[in-house]
Amino acid sequence: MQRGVAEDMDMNKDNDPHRSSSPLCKRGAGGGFCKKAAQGFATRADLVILALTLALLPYLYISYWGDAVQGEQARILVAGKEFAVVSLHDEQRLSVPGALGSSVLEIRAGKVRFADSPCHGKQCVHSGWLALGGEFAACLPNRISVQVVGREPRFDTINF
Amino acid sequence: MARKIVHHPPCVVPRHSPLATRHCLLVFLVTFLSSCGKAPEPLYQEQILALGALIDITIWGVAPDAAQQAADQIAEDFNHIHTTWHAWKPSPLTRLNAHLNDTVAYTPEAELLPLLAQAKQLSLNSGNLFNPAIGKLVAAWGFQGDEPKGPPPDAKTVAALVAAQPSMEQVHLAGNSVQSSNPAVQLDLGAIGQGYAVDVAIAHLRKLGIHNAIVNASGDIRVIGKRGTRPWRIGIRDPRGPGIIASIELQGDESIVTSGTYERYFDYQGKRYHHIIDPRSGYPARGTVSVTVVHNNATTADAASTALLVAGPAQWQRVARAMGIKQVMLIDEQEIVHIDPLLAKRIHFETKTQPRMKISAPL
Repeated sequence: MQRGVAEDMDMNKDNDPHRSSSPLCKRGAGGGFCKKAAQGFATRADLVILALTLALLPYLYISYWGDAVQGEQARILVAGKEFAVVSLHDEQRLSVPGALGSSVLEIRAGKVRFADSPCHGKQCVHSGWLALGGEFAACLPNRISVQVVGREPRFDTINF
Repeated sequence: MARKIVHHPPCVVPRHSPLATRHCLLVFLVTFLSSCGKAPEPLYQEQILALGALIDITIWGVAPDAAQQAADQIAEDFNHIHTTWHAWKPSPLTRLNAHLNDTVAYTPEAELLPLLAQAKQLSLNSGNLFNPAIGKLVAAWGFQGDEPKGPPPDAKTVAALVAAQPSMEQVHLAGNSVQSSNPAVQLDLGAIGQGYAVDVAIAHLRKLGIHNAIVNASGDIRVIGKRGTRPWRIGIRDPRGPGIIASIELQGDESIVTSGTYERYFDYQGKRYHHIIDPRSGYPARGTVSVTVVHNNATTADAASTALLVAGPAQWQRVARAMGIKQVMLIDEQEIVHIDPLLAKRIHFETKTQPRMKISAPL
């Protein structure tokens, strides 16, 4: 099956019926079918389908695996209001102004963490890296929270 | 990253057949339309910074504005409970503490009474290992403060506070009044406040006609109903480091609460002191890193997770039975997972290598 597809794809590339210069495929031959096709490789309809397949591939790729490319996001709240939603694949250090001062959020390789915060206990910093959909951490004194959000998180919520 | 090529078998085999073409188009249309026609799920999720807690509220199957209104009301509940039970800022609880030893029994705000009664019963069931009467010890360790940082109290102070044996047995609840027969008693409901607030929030949601939801207050969780056709999926954070140690599916009406030594602590002169004080020694409990309890009621689960952490690897089963707790996972300082067979059956470990496990007798 896989081999069949590969052959047909080659056909499409090399033996496009609209490229009349192709020695293998003459327009009009075989009652509307490509000559090569008439010999048993592919019909014009097959070629249309293949063209559609190729055209659809980028769409399907993005729609089904797009998240893996774009990654999940971090939703940052300040005093309960949305401050920013950032991709976990844009490496950056983000300074977020809170009640006490600025907390620094570090984003690297699909993860986010509190790198620094003006609170004393640094519990937010001790929470470490968050990567899974639903994971969250907060600096309560500075009233800043961050949650990892994805289209279909593995967990609905996290116990700790 | 997964790289996949989509194969549509009908496109490859019978050639020249218009039927095959139609099949192919069908396959494409179905693929295409199914991926663009997904209806948004009736799932509402909101994070609220209430006083003292980060609350994660998830509601299924309710219109977004109704869900948001419910979430706002729950945030108010949390703020109210926080200010009512605050152990070191002026509150109904600090007023009660100031009057605990009055010769004429004190009548506190009526809303304190139900939880005080519940806390007393839980404390007695736990053999005083969950002991909300040790407010003086908690204060001596600096855990009645926003930023505990040491130094630890000296041994004499600790010994004196333990010798005074404050316990809930000496807290007498009669009608609307509260009186302690031991001047060493000071109430600190910190160990169950969060679980209690979660229970109040769930009761509130139900009153609003919401029957599928999760309330998660700083990790203490109660779920009701389901997420559509499937149970709620809960990840349990690994107490030994970043990531998730295990997952569990909950539905109907269940709580999962974890107490851990990593939640609140201070380091002093190279030594770590955590916030769960063993009422028997007066020092932070030793031997256990975390205890996770699954139970229907979050207040009970919260009290039990504290009591079982204090009980430690040798005594947790006895204390769990005394408190009517059936599902427990305890992780000790050697990173051995002690678990009862009921919870072991339904929990799924998410770590690359299965942790060392000790499955107990049924509770």
